[in-house]
Amino acid sequence: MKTRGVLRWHTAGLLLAVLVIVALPYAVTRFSSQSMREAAALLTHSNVVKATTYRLAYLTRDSESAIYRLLAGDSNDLTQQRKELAGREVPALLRQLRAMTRDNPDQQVRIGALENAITGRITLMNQASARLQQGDPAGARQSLRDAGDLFVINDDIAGIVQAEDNLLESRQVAAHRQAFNNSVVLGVTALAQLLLLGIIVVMSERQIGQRQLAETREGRAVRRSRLIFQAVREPIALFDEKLNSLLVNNAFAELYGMDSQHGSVQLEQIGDGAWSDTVLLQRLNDVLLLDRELWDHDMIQRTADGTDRHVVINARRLQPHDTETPALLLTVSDITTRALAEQKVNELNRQLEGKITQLSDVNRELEAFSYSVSHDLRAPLRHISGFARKLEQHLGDRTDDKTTHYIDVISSSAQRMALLIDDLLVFSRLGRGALRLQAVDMQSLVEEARALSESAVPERRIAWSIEPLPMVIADENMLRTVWQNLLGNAVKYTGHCDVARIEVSVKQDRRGDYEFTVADNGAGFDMQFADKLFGVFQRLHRNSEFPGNGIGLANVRRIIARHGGRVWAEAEPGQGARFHFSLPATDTAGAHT
Amino acid sequence: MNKKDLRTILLVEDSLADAEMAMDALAEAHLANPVVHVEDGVECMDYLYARGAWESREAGDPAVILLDIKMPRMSGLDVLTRMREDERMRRIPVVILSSSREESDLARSWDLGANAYVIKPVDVDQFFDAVRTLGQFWAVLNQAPEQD
Repeated sequence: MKTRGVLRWHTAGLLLAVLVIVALPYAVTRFSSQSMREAAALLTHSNVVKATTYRLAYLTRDSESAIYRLLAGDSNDLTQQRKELAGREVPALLRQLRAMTRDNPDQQVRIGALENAITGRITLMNQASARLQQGDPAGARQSLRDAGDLFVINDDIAGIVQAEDNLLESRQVAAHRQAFNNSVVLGVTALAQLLLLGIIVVMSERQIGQRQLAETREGRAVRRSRLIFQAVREPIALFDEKLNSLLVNNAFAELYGMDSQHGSVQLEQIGDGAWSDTVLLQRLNDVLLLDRELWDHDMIQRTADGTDRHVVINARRLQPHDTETPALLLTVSDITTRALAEQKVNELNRQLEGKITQLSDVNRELEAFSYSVSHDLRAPLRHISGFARKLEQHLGDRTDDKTTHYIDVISSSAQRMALLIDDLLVFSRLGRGALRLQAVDMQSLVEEARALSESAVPERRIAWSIEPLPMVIADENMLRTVWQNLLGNAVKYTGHCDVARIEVSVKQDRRGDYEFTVADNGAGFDMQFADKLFGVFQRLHRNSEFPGNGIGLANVRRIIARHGGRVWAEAEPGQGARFHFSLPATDTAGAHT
Repeated sequence: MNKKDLRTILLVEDSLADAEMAMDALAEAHLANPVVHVEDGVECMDYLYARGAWESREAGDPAVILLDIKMPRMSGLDVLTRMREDERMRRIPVVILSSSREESDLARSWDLGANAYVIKPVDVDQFFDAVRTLGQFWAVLNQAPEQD
């Protein structure tokens, strides 16, 4: 739109320039030559007027002089004719003179005076001539003298000529002024022409410069895009509507072993049959004819290096203008390595799935194992204690103290083993079932656990110090077990203190992880055995001193681990112990189910 | 004694030791009801349908079935499933008497329509108490609908 407007202005400017450069000088020249012609005509006219006036004077004088010659006796035919001449020609000349100066009233007045004078003079000359023929030369002379005295024509003649000269002079002045004006106009026009020419030259120079700049830029852009086209590592090719190659980049030529100086090649001939797949060719024809885009066509091609490559082909129709025949842009992505990687990933996934299957098999076996522990190991124990009792009943009065003691040991051992089995089952169940995550109020769990452990030892003096505790997202039953174990232990191992001090505290680090601590002033333990603390059935104290199964802290560690936290302890023998466990920030707790 | 008192207590238990203890416990309860012991689920079904070895038994459903879960051939849960599917057996009270504390066993038993779930205590006194109480409750106290 903008270019078209500019073009219209250019055309208008050019027309104006032509008008100024060609038409104006023509008009001025034409006007000045016409006025010159007019000036020349006026000059001729003045000269004719003057000549006519002079001729009138001459004819009058010549007739007078002829009469004088006749008076002197010199009479011949020529003289006679000359005498008649004035009378014959003067009236016509006077008419002519009048006609020529019709536009000038002053001259008309002067010509009227001249006519009177000449007419009077000719009348007196005719009188003189008549007197001469009557033989009165004196009278004739007198008439001639009278004519010379009475009708003076010289002044009139001079006046007319003078007036005509004045007129001519004034006309010449006007003509000069006109000529000067014309030359000024011509000069200005010439300057305008020069100026216009200058503008045109400057403008066209600038335009040429701009065009050259644009062409340079375009050339540079074309060179750049060609460089990019060749440098791209992805094979790219352009084909015409008959699938003959138009443009092929280096990557394409290299992949399909094409000669770098190749001419136009039919697609099917490229790469020894890499492109002879009929389905693909059909799809490419669809792209060209129906403008259907070919999107990520997956196939295996044998390329120049003789390997089968996994490629993804994309193609689309290019048609910059409706008039041009469409071209086919073809890009080839070699995804062989990616496909191999994918294959490897798939393989790993399969292996992983196999491992998972194995793992769930193991889990199932473990479950079956714990089931059979739960069911089958307990039955014989029941039978041991049951039949011990039956034995006792059977013996009746025949029992003695020893017998009773043996039977008691058998029964209590069976019961203890049943408890161990139950503990083991709880421990294994903690590792198996899904976490039931919910908002858990640690404060109320701790209060609950405290009440429970206190109720077992109502006679003890225990100073509790429990900080305000937060809500966490966790499995409530599991955390209940944690607190019951930790507080139960704290109560148990402060059994020898007069006043037990048990502190529960919490702190939160920058990531939002909680660290809970239970500290007591009880028996403590030797840190060199700290690694045994959380093992199943591991104990650091004798059963007679502090009874227990050694399963509680193992359960604590398993529960905290399943919540993504960790548990640790520090202590000194006789100086009390501090048990810590951490729980990760709430939003990540679910990641460890 | 009326007819109701004479209904049997059916004990389904593969462990002979357990069965002996249970029979002792029931005897201690001084119940008039006869106690019948069968050793697995298949035999239990034979008894219920009065077929095979039990073809000639007296007619009538047991007052209660004390059913172990883990048994050869046909488990207690299979027996329970069959019974609850059968219109005639649906109302017979079934008490699961098992060593298993497994949550899954408990849940499945209740889902299948067990009337009670009792874990066999290892402690011998507790065991005797439990079985005695069960016998008394189901055979004497519990009121079942009249049989057809």
